[in-house]
Amino acid sequence: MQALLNYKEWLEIGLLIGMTIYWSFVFIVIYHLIRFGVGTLPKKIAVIFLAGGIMLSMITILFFAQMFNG
Amino acid sequence: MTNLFSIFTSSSNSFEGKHDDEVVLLYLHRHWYTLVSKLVYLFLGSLLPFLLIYVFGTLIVHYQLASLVVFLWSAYYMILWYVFGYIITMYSMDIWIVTNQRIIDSYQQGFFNRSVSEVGLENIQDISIKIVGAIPTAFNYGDIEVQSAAAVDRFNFDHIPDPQGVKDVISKAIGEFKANHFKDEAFEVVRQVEKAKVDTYTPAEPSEYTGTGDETPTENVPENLPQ
Repeated sequence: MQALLNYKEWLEIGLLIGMTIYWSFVFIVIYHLIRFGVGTLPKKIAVIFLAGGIMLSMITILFFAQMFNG
Repeated sequence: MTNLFSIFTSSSNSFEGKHDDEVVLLYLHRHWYTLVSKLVYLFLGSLLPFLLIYVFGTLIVHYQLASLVVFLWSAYYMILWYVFGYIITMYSMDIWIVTNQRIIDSYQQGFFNRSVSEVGLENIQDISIKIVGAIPTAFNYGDIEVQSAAAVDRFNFDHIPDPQGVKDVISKAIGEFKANHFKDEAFEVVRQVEKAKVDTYTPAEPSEYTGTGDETPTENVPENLPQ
């Protein structure tokens, strides 16, 4: 019986789920900083946090792809 | 059209629910030492992958797990980055605002547990400070306790930098608030009294006079008037 998905595709789905959960939490942090932060500093921190999150996510996805491409 | 980017440039002395005539005197966070003490753990956690590679480096190379380890490393840093954001968020949400009208205590414990309470300066009865320990004494931070006659009977400012200076600012604000408040009340009382006088004033009835106006007053004149 042929498997529905190979192990690589399962890992990709796992990564997708992980990223979705991660970005949900990141969104909550950014939302709180912008919505409830007093003054301008929390908003600036939110932008830095967003940029860092995007950068690290891209690096992680890149290394994930590299695992299979050698 | 409201500029979307104004949130990065608008006055730092603004917060949700601020009155138009309200002047912010102090924004207080916990002392930076409390933040740094948490971030130190995070920094130590970020060194953990280096330690693991140092210990298990040969095994990783031997089993050709380098790409997997690098991937896990970056995922681990993603999580650390989130924890960093969480710590910063909790730190920046936990604030005390002293204005010329009230004190606001905004406390965040977790993302969905937020409490905001306030006390008017007219209800504050007593302020006391407490600096306990060598590190708080060295870095000049401590706790302030504000006793009030309002629904929230006690306000605690925890790990506040320069508690004596903050106490002085609050005491001065209370003094100015009460002076202005009582002055306004006094003006209002005087205004009400004057208004009542005007409202209840009735001119005297003119006396009935039936003479011609040429008479010389002879009656009711005291006899011992000086000549």
